[in-house]
Amino acid sequence: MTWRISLAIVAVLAVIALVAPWLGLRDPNAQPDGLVLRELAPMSRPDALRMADGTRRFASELREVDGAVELRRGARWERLELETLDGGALATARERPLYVLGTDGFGRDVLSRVVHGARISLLVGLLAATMALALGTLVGASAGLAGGCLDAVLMRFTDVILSVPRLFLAVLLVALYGRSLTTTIIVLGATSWMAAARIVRGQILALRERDYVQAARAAGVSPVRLVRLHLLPAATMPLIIEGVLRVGDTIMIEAALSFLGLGVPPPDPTWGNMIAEGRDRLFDAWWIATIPGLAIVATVVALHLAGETARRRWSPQAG
Amino acid sequence: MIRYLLRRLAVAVPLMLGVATLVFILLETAPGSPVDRVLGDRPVPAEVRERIERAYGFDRPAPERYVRWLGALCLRGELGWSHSRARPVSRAIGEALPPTLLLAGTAMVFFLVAGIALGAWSAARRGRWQERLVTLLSLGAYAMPAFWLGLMAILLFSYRFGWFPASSMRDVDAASFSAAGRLLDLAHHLVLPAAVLGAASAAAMMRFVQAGMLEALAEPFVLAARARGVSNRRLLWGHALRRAILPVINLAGLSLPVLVSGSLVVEVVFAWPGMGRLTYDAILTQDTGVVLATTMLAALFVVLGNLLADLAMAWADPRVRLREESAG
Repeated sequence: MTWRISLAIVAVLAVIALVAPWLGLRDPNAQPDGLVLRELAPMSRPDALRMADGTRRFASELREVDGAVELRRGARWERLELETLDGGALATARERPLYVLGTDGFGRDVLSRVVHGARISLLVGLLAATMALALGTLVGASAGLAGGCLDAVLMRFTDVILSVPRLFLAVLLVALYGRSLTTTIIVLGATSWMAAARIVRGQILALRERDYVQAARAAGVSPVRLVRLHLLPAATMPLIIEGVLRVGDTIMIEAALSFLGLGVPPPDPTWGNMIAEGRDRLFDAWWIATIPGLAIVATVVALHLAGETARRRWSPQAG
Repeated sequence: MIRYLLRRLAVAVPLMLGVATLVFILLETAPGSPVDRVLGDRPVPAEVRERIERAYGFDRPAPERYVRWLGALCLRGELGWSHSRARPVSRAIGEALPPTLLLAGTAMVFFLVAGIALGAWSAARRGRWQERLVTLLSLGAYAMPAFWLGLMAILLFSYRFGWFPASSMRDVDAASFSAAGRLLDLAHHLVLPAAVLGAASAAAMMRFVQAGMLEALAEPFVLAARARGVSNRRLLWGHALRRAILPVINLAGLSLPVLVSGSLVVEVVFAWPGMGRLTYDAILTQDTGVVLATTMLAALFVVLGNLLADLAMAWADPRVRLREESAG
């Protein structure tokens, strides 16, 4: 039951992230009116006027005077002649666009930013986890297959990296190599391959002395082929589970990096930098920081449940 | 026990050397020279640059610099100069370390007490709604980024209810308080950050103790005790919990990396003047020397945590050290 729900949440998130540009949401980075639309609470419906030239004007307050409309932006009132409006009348030009999750300090739509943030956060998580699995498989397979000196060196190296807390390592790497989307993905991938390496190495050590592997070796099968066809398939399920758990982990670390100002650079929304931007306005506009945090919690819980249930189902030890 | 300690130390020391080496290699391979990073965009004549490079030994080959750096680090604890705080890195760290130790220590006490109590309590109510609630709670706490949980705690408990201060370690008037008042003030400031920092570990501990208790409650010795007429309460808190608590020591040691990483963001959220805050300021001012030093210190915490956990396990459970000794 929880298994189905968590898988469904993951699937829905993935689909939303995939089709985000075609959902008819507002541009996540657009700032149509930083003054009027600034920090609107969820479910706000600000006043807007469609103009004859196709543009749109927003207003904190609207009033009709003879032959014209007056709209207030901040402290100032502006006068608009009726003929400049779309349709030439207030009734035809007036709109009340709905901001379901409100707006942030720049007047950007929070709903749209959370959805597009899912796109970037999930992309970062997925690519970094894939990279971690690939690196881990490479290191683990080399260590397990070669044994001896190389095995010792690689595994001590793994121990060394494991003893630096991941967030510190990631912070150090970004501080040294600069900040961009690509760096974020590479840094997160490069700091999370250790568990995968241990899984692959363990699996290979367990199978290395089996007869069929010895036979394949004797027959002159190349090491790459040996790993790919004879040794790795047994590790597939644990690796996939590790990957799923890693995606959730990576999303959390990306959020922490972004919060510290070291993740994906603005204005592109990620859940982490949205929380960072909402931090200064916490008491006046609680929704800016709260909503992306809820998105993180939902995603990580769903990924964790999916991964854990898969582990329980397929892991031979648990039975 | 001494032999076991030496054996563990023989693992920990090279590990720390490895971390230092890794950090040096990262620094060497990063784009831009250290001199560039300090000078920034300021226009500096070439001969001045050269003089700086010579003065700090950057004109030497990398292996020589590595040996010198490691020597200064190991023999004199020298970590370089922090240009953002205008003092040696070691002194900046010396000032930032006590607040972090206080925060992390309190968080540890919190997560041990909360985790064990809630875990045992929920295990005693298996199959009922209390168990589900605790499980749900722990899952939520695990999935919440510490900095977001911190912001939410401030929003709720500082802003809405006004129960706890939202930032810093002391009241602005703390100097005028009596000694007891100052202590109380400090404790008051500690509550939120320590609870937030310990939340994720408390969640892990809770599930761990819960599972251990359920296992222990199914053992024959519990049935035997029950047959002897031992009360439910004593059965739970005396017999089963004692059995389930051993692995807790291990988990406490392993949760150190979580606390150390967490302190980085939690201290930023609560403006706590510790290592995390120091690291954050260093990031903002491109003070790489400080980031290097705090990274190594964080690793030291992790290695020490593992070491202490191993030792505590060996002390509590002779099988561990005997197995190790017969295997080695």
